[in-house]
Amino acid sequence: MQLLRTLVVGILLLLLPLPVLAYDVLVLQSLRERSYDEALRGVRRECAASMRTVVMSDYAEIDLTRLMREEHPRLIIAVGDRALEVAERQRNVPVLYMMALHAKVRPGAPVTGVWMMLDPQRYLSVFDSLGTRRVGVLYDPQRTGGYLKRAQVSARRSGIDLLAREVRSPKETVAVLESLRGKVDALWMLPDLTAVSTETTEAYFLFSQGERIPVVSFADAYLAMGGAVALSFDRYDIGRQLGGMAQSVLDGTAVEELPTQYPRRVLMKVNDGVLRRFKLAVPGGS
Amino acid sequence: MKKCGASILSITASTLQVSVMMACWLSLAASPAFAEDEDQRSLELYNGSASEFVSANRSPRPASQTAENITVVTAQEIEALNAHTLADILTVIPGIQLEMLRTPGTVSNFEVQGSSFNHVLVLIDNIPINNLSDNFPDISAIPAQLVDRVEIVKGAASTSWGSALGGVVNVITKSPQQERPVAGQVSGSLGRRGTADTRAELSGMASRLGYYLSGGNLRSDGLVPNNSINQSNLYGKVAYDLPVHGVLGFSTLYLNGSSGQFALYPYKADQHGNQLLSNLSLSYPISDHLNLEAALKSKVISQEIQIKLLDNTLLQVHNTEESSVGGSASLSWVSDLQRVVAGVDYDHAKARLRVPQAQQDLLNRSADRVGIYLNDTFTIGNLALTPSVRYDHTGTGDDLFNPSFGVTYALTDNSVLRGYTSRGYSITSLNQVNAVEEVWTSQIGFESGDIPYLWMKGTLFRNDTWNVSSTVANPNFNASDPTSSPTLNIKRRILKKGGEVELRTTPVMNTSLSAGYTFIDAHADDTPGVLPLVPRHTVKLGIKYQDQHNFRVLLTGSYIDWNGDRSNGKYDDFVWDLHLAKKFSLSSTLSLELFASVRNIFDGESYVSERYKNPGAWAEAGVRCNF
Repeated sequence: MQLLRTLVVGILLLLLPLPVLAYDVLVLQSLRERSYDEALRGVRRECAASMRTVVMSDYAEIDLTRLMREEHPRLIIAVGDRALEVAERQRNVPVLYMMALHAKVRPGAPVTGVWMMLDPQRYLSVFDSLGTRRVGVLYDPQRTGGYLKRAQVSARRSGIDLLAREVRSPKETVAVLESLRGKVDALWMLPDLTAVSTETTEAYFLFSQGERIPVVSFADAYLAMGGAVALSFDRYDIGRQLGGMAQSVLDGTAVEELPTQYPRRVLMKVNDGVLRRFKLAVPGGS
Repeated sequence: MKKCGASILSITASTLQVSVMMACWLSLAASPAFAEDEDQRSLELYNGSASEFVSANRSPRPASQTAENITVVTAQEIEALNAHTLADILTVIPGIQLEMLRTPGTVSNFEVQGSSFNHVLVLIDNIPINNLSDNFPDISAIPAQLVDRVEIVKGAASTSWGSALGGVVNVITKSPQQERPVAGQVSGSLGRRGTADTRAELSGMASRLGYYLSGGNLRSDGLVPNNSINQSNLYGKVAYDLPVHGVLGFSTLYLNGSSGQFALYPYKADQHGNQLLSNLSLSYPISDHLNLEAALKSKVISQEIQIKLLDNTLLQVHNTEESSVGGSASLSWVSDLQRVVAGVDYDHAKARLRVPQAQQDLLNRSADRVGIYLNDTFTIGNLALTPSVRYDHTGTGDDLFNPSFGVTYALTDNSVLRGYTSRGYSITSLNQVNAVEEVWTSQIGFESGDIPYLWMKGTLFRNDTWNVSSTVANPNFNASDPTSSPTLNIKRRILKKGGEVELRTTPVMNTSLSAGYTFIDAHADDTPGVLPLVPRHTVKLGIKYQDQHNFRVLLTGSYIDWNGDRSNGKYDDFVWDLHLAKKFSLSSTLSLELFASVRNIFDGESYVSERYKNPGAWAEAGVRCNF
């Protein structure tokens, strides 16, 4: 007994001058990737709160209930879809999310964040400036159905005819693209894991060359493959945007008062060669 | 020495069994490529080949940051066990010793690191299920299907929970399914001697109101003589999200059944009864830092035990009627450096135990119990200090003041040193004034997930208990004197010192291993040498295979050296259980799961008394349908 007490006290005395561990924000990250790191740098720039990061892929199992009960963070920042899914299951602590492509939040849940998809109006402006009125788009209703509904509302306002075609499996993509032959002036490539896959990406650009119509995509990587325009987000800025929301929640704003936001900073890149070939131009394109 | 030799031989034989099982296992374990993680695919969609995924050394789980030695069993682990009741769940936990594991649902005793059942508080939805007459928690009555997770605190936890000298088993029931208005499961299984478990669950959320409903029946003709069971259960929980913040909840569990306890010439015993547990709770955040938890609880137990001769001649009947009504309230305040919880518990307990033949009450008493506590967790850097105090008015014995002090030091993000010391108590019977048994627990431990592919936890403990009621042989027994009793009830001091190690690995080729070993050296002040019938060695092993095709195999092994009278009990063997399951997804919301369990596959013997022999190998199979 005496020995145990002495040991405990001894350990206490040895370890007194220490850095701070108690924290306000639990950063729950799906996996380790450079994009996530960049976004988190942005969060830290805007939010000075103390944070602990738990990378889910580092562990075979994560018991978030136990983590919450033991460590009592005031806020969870979920980075990635898996992290959001796990964080949303607990109901006691507000959750802010980012870099979650398939973010679907239960109505009334104390969850908000920054979408990974851009405001559809940004894409529609590009189609407008290209002078393309009939735009073909492939989507999986399970993944991007909600986004497409919002896009259709904006398209009607912009006078653009959105020819949306459903794909339920990547195998359907080529055939569905064929059904658009001769009917569209441009293709809008959505970040949809069913509509765009490693096996079917090339079909978009073959269709583009065959029909001599531009493809507007969501990432620079597709320009080299034959894309005409890429509208993408700035990961660091998404982090800053979310960091501002986090600071606001920690300062007392209710999460329910913060609507989910589109990324505010949009990066546009164009493939001049493709645009020249199709005799098109985009104001401000680089 | 002879006993030790026998143990070593049996362990060697068991080790051989494990080795054979392992070899078979690894040959089965192919290396299927898991479906790519959705997040990984999303990032590749944006970044293409520029995606840079960093593989860190994987660890089974993050280290716990609590000062106490706590083990958590999650819903996923419970599902893999094909468990019928809480007893089936506890049997795989390192440091927990099941004394009687026979026909599912029939009465079972258990210990936590050698602390007997009447020293362990078992809660379901925060309602103690320990009875009032002898503080017995009927863990076999709690259906597994409604359990979401179990948190086990090993060692005294009285400063938080009151009467919990040896530990706490905190059962947290399932919450309403949040994603859909209606979801559920129906399941059924059938095994040897008509052992059948049928269940149905419904759960969902509509607007602010969530619900979880469950019902089931467990029956068997008995895997050992006079150990049949027919038990039904109904459970309901509703949770209402209050406007703006807070949750109001209500839950109730009704159990009704009859079972055979044992048959050993010339006697046998049967029991039947029912229980109703209800809980009305409120969780309300008063401000960003301050939270209120309040609850009203009630428990009603009615039970009859019949002792008969084997030819069914009734010898004695014990009727028990118990009720307990109370409430609790606590305020917790959280800041950057500190978490303070202050609360009060109240309980009006009433019990009557009758033996009609004797025309007298063995117990007829009520008591008002009040506990006031204050727990603080103060964080300075990597160091967290947890001083706590609790004052209890027991209503039947002396008032008690119990302090505790815990410390954790985070060596790294995933390695923790911990120390904990606490005074605690248990009220082992409402009937006796002198039924308050006490303990001083001290523990030091280390937990780490920093070693690649391995999570480990080690704890050294010392439990000094006193005023422990024990029945011992009467050295002055005179068989010719009718007033002389062969046994004596004494109060003794028992010192248990020991250590516990738990290990888990990350899955390699879809296969993960877990192991736990507990050593206890127990001595009593009235007896020389090691105290018998306190489990000296406990080994728990698990091998789990789970692939991306939803095929799951779990093999669990349990060995307990009871250090008892070997002429009456046998416990040289490991008891191995094999659980298999294959799930078929029929749509995004509909799935079918086929499962089977072979329990005690090598016919291992593990019991401390002939009266409560464990059954040999037996099998069962079933199907679950999730919708």
